[in-house]
Amino acid sequence: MVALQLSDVRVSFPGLDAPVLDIPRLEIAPGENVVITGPSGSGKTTLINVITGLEKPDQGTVRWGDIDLVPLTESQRDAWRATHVGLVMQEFHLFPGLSAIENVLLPVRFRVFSVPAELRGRAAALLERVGLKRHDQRIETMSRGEMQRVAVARALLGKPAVLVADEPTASLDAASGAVVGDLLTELADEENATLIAVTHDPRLASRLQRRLRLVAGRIVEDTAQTAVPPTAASAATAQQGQVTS
Amino acid sequence: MIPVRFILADLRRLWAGSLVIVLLIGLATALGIAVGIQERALRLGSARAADRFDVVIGAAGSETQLVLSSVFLQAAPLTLLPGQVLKKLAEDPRVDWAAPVGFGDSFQGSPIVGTTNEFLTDKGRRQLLAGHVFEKRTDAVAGALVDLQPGDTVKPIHGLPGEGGHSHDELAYTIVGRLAPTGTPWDRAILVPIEAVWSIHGMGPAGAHAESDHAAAGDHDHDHDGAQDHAAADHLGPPWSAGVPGVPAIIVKPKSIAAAYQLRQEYRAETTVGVFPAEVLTRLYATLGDARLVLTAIAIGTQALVGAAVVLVSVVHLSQRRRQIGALRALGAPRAAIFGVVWVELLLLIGLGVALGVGLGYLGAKVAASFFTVQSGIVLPVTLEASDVGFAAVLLLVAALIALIPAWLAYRQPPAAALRA
Repeated sequence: MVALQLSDVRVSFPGLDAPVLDIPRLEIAPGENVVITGPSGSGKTTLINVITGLEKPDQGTVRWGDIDLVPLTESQRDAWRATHVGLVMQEFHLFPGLSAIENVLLPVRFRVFSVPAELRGRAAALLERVGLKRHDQRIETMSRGEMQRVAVARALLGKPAVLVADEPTASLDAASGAVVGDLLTELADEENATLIAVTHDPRLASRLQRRLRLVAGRIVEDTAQTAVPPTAASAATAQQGQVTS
Repeated sequence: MIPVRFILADLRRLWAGSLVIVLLIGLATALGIAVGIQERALRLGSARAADRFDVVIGAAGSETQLVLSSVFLQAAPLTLLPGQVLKKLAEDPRVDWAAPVGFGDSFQGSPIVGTTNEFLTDKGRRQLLAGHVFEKRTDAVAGALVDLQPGDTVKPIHGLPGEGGHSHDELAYTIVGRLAPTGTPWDRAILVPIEAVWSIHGMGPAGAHAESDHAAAGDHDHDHDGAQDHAAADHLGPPWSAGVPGVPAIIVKPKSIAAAYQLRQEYRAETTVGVFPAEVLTRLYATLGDARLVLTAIAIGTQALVGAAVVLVSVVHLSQRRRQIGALRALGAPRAAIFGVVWVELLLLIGLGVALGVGLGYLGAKVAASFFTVQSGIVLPVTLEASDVGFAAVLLLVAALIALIPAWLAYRQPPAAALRA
C-alpha cells in the first residue's frame, strides 16, 4: 500500500503553447478510489501515463511511497509498473490466439521463465471471481464484456498496489459495462488496491469516492473532502452484477 | 523471457504475411543454393564424362572444339586427320588401343558415331548390357539412353541431330547390342562400325557399295584375288590397311601415363593436335567459374533485395503493431523482451525461409540436372555439401543481423502509445 504524491508536474508537447498537464500538487491516499473526468483533450490519459510511469513529465516529481518515477530509466519504470500497477484499458489489449488464462498470465510470462503453480492458481481464481468458467476458451471467441473481465483478472494477477483503468466501460454495452464497473470497484476493495479510473460512465463514476475534474491539463475540481461511502442500493446492484455466465 | 506461446499465436495470427516472407526468403535462398550446386554438378559431371578419354588426337585446330566434338558429341565439322595417323597410332607400342570416331549421321535425334569394338568394350574391359559387339558393317550398338532394342532397324539421316538432311536409303543398320550406362553423352549415341561411316560417305577402299562387295566377296570366298576385297569388306577395326580413310578424331588409350604425355607431345605438330580432355575442361571451368561468379552475384543481389523487402515489410508491420507493443510494455513486459519477441519472430520466419530455400534449391538443381541429362546425356551428380549449408548459415547470420533493425525499432517504441485511442 503506497500513497501517490505529485508535485510540480508539467507535460508539454512541442508546438503547443500551453502544457497538456500542469499539476502543482496532487495526493492520493492508499486504497482510495478516484475517478478522473474531463472533456477529451483535457489531459486525462497523460495524467494516467505519468502516474503509471508510461510517460515522463518534463518536470516535477511523481512519488509512489518512497520511489520517485521521474529519475528512473525506462526499464526501471517498466519493472516498477510490472510489480505495482494493474492496467485495464478501453481496448482490452488481449492477445488473440491465446486462451483466457494464457492472456491473464502473459505479462508474467514476459518476466519469468516458468510460471509458478500458485500464480497459475491465482489466475484461475481471478477468472472465477470475474465470472468466467471456461479458462481455456480462445480470447477472440469471447464477447466484449467477457474480454474486459479477462483484462480485469489480468490487471489484478500481480496483486498491484494501484489499479488503473482507462475508460474501462466505454467500449461495452450498458449491461457489460455495469458488470465491469462493479467488478473493478469490488476487486480494488478486496485486493486493497488504490483504484484510479478515467471514465465518462456516470454509473462507474458514482461508485468512486473521489472525483478529479481536469480541464486543459489543470485540476479544476477535487472532491477529496466530500467522499461518500457506497450506498446500500449500489451495493445491491453490485451483487446482481456478479454474472456467472 | 520471451513467451513461446505468444510468439506462435502471433505468427499464426499473421500467417498470410508470414507465409509471403517465408516464400520470398525461400526462393531467394534457393536461387543461391541452386547456382552453387548446379555449377559443382556440371563440373563433376563433365569431368566424369571425360574420364574414359585419356588422349584425343585431331587435325590441327581448336582444342576445345575437338574435345566438345569427341567427348561430348557436340558435333561440329572437324578437319579430317589422314588415315595414316590412325594406322600409325594403332600400331604404336605405347598405345593400348586407338579408336577412330566418325560423325555425320543421326537417327531420331541420336548421333550415329562410327568407331571400333575396342572403344565399345575398352578392349574387353567393359561388358555390354545386352547383345554383342559389331560383327558386320550393318551392326549397330545403342547407348543406354537410346530407345532401341536389339533387332530394331536404324536408317541414318545425313546431318547432325536436329538438322534436316537426306536419308541414306542405301544402308540400314540393325541394333545388335546395348551399352551399359556411362553417364556421358555417349549414352545417347548409336555406335556403328567406322567402316560403315566411311562407306556411306563414299570414302575408303570399299566405296559406296559395301553390301554388294560383301556379297561378291562371299561368292569368291576362296579366290585369292578376292582376298583384298574380302578384307576391306568384312574385316572390322584394326589392323588398318595402308589406304585407310581419314577420320575427324582418334581416341587413344595409352599404356602408361608417360606414354600419354609423350603421345600428346608428339602429336602437337603442324597438322595434328593432341589433347588431354581433362586439361581442356580445366580451361573451360575457368570460363565456367566466371559465369558462376556472375550468377552468384545475381543471387546475392536477389537476396539483398529480398532482405530489403523483408526489412521494409517488418518496419511497416511494426508501425501497425505500435499499440500491441505499447500494451505489452504497459502491462509490464520488459523492453528486452519486446526486442526479443520481434527478433525471434523474424528469425523464425527467416530460418524457415532459408531451410525451405535449401530444400527448394536442391530440388531445383535436381530437376535442372535431369533436364540437362535428357538433353546432353551427361549425368550431373547433384549433391548437397557442407559448403552449401555454410552458405545458408552465412545467409541466416546476415539475416539475423538485419532483423536487429526492426527489433531495435520495437525496443525504442514508447509504451504510452497503447493508451491513446
